[in-house]
Amino acid sequence: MRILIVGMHNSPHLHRWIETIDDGRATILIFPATASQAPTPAHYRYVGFGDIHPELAPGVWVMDPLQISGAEELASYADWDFVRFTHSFVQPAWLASPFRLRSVLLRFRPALLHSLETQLAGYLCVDALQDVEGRPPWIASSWGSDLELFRRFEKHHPMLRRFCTGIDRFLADCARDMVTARRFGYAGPPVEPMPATGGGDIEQLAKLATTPPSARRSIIVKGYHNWAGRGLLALSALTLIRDRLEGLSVGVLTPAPQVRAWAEQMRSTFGLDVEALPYLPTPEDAMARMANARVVIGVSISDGIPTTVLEAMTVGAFPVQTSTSCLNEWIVDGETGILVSPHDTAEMAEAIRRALTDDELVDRAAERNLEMVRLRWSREINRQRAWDLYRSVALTRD
Amino acid sequence: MGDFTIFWRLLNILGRIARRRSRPLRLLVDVRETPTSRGFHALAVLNLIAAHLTDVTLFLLTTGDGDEMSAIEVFRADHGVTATILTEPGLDRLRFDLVFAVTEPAGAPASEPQFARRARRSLIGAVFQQIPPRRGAIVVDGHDTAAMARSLVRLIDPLLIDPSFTTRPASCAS
Repeated sequence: MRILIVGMHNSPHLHRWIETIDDGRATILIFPATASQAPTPAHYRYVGFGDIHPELAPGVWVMDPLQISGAEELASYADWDFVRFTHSFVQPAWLASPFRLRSVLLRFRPALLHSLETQLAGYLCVDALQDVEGRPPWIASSWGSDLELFRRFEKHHPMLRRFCTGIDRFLADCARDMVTARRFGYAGPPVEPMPATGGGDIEQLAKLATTPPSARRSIIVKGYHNWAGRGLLALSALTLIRDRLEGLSVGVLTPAPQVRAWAEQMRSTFGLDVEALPYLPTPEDAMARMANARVVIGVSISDGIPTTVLEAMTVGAFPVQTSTSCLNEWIVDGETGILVSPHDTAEMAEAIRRALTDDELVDRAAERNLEMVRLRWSREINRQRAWDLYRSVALTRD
Repeated sequence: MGDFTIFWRLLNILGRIARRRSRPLRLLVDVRETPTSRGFHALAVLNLIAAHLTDVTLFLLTTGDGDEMSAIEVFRADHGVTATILTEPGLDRLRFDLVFAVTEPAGAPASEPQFARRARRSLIGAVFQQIPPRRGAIVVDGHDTAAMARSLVRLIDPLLIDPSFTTRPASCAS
């Protein structure tokens, strides 16, 4: 089967999805949604626009990111400001052009098109598929905040309507997003949600947890502070219970510069053991670090099901997460995790305090959370589900 | 003649009080997210007290940065609160009844933001450093959004006995 994936080819989420679906028999071509030059997994092969054809060998291919548009082709994106809202890190000149994607569709003739993420990849497909005759079926995955955040921006409503009415299957990472998609006109059949990353090797990851959570002495805080992340509010919450943090280390994951500065400030002002965690080159090392954490804290004004939380659940770290994610679809609030308001640092502080002092709570949660990810985040199970979905919509082509 | 003057003075004072009460309170909130201003903390407080902003004329001071504008957009969409967006040059000719900011003071001695003096009263959340109090200014712990929310509500409506806060946002769009 030939599958055309449209998405951010440099995203670890996309790489994990590909890992989930890659069975060695399918030809998977990735059309980059942006012209980023970041590295991809070693086994991905790059292909120029001119060399794309239906007979590409099975395996994973990436179209050359420098050939995803001609500058003059981007005029259609210039008259609205989806870049300013939340994607300020993307230069308009890096965007792919719908005309180029349309040409790739004609050259590659995929059995299906699958967009991963909405605002860059999904919107691109909306424009590319306009007035295309005999277009392939379109599966759209939404990631994290795609619908939940952008439904609040009126300027996005026309595009969200075109997106939701244009897709054939909507694969969300949260059940709540299906409700939003219906509101914007999605008329396809319901599809059970699946995390954006597909699945993980649960048994392999779970082996990294060698200490019960109650015996662990570290806290991990997600350090994003940007269009949705609120890492500084998480640090404020910790500051409120600083007298309870003696003997504990706090590590900040992928800290934004201001979050890193606050971590240093908390060390110098309050003498707390807070540090920005260094980047670790392999996912295994990162997971081993997670397996030493008693609590994982994530604060944002909008999120889906964060991969960090799924990883935490796999290795027994207790999630304290803002209710604006869809973690409520994975945990029992107050039993296997605690949901808090993204606006109330006192409530966050109380939740963290409870997770730090209640040994029975965190140990029991670890067992139940591992069972949950075995059921819903297993690569093996979700590979089967993904292929069932693909086969149910794919065109039968030569 | 003296009684008459006192009468008119009293009437004048009562008239001014009545006019002041009939005019919505003008609240300026600094939502700039910069190294010295923690606008996302301030917006968190506004989210908590959104139910108490219906009779308030709200002004939001921003840098115009995309992340700040997104946060404002989400706040407006979630609570239906209207606000006038200002940038610093636009403050020049404006006066407010109350100013609220969460500030990360730079340098020593720490001081409140300059624009806080554009109102008779101000509430300043200070993080990591204390700011010396002055008449008309209340300084509280800028890390504690719930405490700041309680203080701000009391300044908006001093007669309020038991302020209610916005509860945890629902994660289901049902």
